[in-house]
Amino acid sequence: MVKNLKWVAFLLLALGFGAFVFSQKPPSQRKYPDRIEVRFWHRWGGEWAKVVADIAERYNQSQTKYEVVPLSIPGSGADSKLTLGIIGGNPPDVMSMWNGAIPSLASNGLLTPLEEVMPPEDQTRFMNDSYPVIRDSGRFDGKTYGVTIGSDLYALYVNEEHLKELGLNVDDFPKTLEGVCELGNRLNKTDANGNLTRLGFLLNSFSFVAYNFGPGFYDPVSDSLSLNTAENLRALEFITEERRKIGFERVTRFQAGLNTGSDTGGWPFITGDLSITIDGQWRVEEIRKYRPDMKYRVIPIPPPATNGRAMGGTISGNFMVIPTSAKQKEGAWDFIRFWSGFADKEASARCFNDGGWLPLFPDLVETKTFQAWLKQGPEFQGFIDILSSENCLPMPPVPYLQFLNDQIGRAEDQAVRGTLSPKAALEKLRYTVAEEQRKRKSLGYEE
Amino acid sequence: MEKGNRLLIHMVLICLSIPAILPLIWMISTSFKAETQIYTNTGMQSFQISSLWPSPMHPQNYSEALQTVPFGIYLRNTLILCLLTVLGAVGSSSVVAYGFARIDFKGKEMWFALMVATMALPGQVTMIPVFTIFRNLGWYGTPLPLIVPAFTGSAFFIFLLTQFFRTLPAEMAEAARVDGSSEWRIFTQLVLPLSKPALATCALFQFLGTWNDFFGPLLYLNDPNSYTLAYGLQQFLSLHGGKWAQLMAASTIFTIPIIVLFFFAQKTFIQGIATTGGKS
Amino acid sequence: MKPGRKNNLTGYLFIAPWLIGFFVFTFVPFLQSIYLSFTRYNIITPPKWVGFANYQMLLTQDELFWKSALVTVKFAVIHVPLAVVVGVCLALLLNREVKGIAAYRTIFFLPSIVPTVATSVVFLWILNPTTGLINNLLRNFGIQGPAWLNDPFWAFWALVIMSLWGVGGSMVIYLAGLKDIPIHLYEAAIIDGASPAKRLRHVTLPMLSPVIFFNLVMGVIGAFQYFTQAFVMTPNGGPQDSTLFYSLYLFNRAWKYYDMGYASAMAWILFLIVVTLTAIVFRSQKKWVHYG
Repeated sequence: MVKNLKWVAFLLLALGFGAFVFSQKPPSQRKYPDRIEVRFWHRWGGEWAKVVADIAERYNQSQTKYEVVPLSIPGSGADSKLTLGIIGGNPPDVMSMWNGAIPSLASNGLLTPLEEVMPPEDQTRFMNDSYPVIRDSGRFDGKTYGVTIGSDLYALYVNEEHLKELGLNVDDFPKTLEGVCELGNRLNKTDANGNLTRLGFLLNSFSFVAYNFGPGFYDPVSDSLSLNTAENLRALEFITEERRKIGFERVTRFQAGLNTGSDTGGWPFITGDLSITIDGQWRVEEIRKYRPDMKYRVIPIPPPATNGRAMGGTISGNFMVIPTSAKQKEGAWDFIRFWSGFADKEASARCFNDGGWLPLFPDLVETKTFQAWLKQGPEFQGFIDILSSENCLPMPPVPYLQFLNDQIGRAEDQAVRGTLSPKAALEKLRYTVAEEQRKRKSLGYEE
Repeated sequence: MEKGNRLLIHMVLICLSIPAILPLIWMISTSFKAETQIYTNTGMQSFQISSLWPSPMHPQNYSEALQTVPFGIYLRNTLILCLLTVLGAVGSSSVVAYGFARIDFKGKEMWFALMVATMALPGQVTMIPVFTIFRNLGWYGTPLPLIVPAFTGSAFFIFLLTQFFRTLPAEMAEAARVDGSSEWRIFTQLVLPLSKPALATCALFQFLGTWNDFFGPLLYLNDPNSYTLAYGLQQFLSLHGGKWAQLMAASTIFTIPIIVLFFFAQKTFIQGIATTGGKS
Repeated sequence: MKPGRKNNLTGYLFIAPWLIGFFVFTFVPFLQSIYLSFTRYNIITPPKWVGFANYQMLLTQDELFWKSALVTVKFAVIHVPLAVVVGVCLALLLNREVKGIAAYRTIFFLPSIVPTVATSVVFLWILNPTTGLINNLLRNFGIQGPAWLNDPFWAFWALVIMSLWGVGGSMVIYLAGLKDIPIHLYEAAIIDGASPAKRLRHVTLPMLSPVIFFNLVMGVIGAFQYFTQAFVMTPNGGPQDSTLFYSLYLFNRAWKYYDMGYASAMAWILFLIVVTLTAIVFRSQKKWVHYG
């Protein structure tokens, strides 16, 4: 009897569970079934995915031939997922990739050179009108493989209220990196045990900050990598020394306790846990959305006191690529045209504004739409200024860029942890990359 | 046993139970907390028993987690996969096991040994060629690569079932054979009905295996609408790493069905695991 | 009746599902992977023969290869014996006839059925240096806990601790093994005046040795394929590659840098290591495993 009851209970539970589960249906995808489908994959999730879906829908309404069906593939390893799509023989027609992945994809023959699908007038506009640094970030080996739909740069975000606590005005913000670090230390707050409760400033991202010290990791004249240079060493030593001053452990602990997972206004700078921080331009739009009353300022990372480079940096971001095996390349290009600003400039400006991204063409900034948006978030201008700086450079155009970026990150990690001196870490970086080059050579790759 | 001795054992067991069960309690407790209860601006805290009880209760984490990520759809996908792979693996494994256990044919010992040996073959060795097979079939991005291999049987289950079939009395089958029954008939009408416990064990293991599987979906699924719970949870983690309350809610959704299943099928669980481990 | 021929056909028909699967998903891929390990291959363009270049590079120039192999061996050497000791001790404890023993058994068993990804996510939270359960507990004793997964030393141990949490599965196996030990062996030992320690040493452990042996073999094979937990918790291999397990590095080589030939060579080296280690364990069984 008891046993029967147990089974009845189990069956009922299973039935109820099954009814709930199988009432779940994935959303239907096609809205315009009689149009040509253009499959579009991207890496945004959550709130961002909604922004992207809106843009795709605006494109669909702007014409009657194609339907762009966006698919969000967010999360870790999104790049691999997209690549697997190509390798696995189930590619989208167009996808948004991180530019760091473009060279290796292109050199493996997985991407369509966009010259094949660009009409001549688009090619002219692309080559002549765009920000050179953004344009070249999507090019490899003399061909265009990616066109940006939203590029990223980094600068300082400064909390004005925190500065006021020290009796400082943001207009008197330090003009040197040393000054910023020193100010950061004064803004730190700790509890009774010496643990940080507020972090004034943390200098990190060697791969970006290196451009404030020198020309970065690539020498265009000799067309070769320049990793272990005096400038890069200075940058890495600087970062290491600053981290040592705050205390590596202390920072790690503090960061582990931060609520970093939110895309709806939980950014620690907004919540006041960070006073000055290096972050991307899209945060301007985030603040505008979730904390419009926040008093803050965007300031390009100042160079070190001597031998520095003002407004230095490198472009990362989202670039549209078309897989070699894509079926609907014309439709893909038509969508890129719409978003990137080859067609209606006002409509394109709105796309870039929606995500707070940097545009491909300077003339998009001049549009009414963009100007109206800039008025609401004037701090964005700081990023646009960096774009026209001659110290803002593309990433090194080598086919193993993904590997290189991983190794640069590794060198920074080893240096700030103190396992290797900055000098040794850079030497090791050079050595590891040279080994990779040797390996590629003996495996018969062209480079 | 002496009384004091017994008390000591209880004390030891209770002390050891704490690390075993506390993570699960912590998971469920966090899943009902508001973010403000998790992140406090007063710096580092020490542990208090009272902190295990969320107050106020914040069940919204569940609905929010379900909204951010379609865990309902993941659950559906996972269950469909579980159902199909259980059917496939148990069905085909039992057929094959019957062949190994009860039919004499040339080369049987060699095949059986080979099959047992495949259990030790690391999946990484065949990973890339198998991937290319599925790609050439056009199955990448569909759930087929996760389902079809189950229908060719699992070496582990075949091994288990072969051992089990060998313990069944052979006389009835002989009698049936003399009566002119085919092997298939003997298998389906005589052997299978007697093998329910062993089949249940295999079904349970396959269910758990599919429910747990992370690598397969990681490699073969690329449409979020066909993700499974295991993969969906990892994706949620990488996207919203700091939303601990929601992450714990999602983990709870992922774990509870297995625990419920355990309480209903405790015997099959324990006996199954015990038999798999013991007598090789 | 000609039983020989008829049985051959029926026999092969019965094992056909497995046989097809074996050839398609195991045997042919197995051979292909040998070939691929001597090529440069990105899955899209046809493989190109490079001889021993992949192996040579792996063994002589790839620092990460050695590092990941070392991490994995370290894990196997530490985790596998530790899991055996903890599992056997727990089983001995739970083999007592005290009140509520079934409840205790359930409690120790439950962690082992929690799905791996869920366990990893929960432990990420428990191991958080600032708000995590473990460091909160340590603070009660005035101890500043380590940064766990952010610390090159502790990240590895965090994974070891986590793997011990799931030891309940093997505990059940030991428990079943203990139940199978005939009572009369103990009775005889008691008559001979053997102390409890001696009974453990001379009766229990030898009788349990086949089960321990089985767990050892499975543990070694499992340790070398340890992937999901490392991938979920430290996708980049952890601080200073302290949790860059072999399978994780292999995965990155294959699916992040599309180095399929290189990854195949890695898989083959893994295969040889696993075969060798399993052989060693099997070889040793004559010395300590008793089949009663």
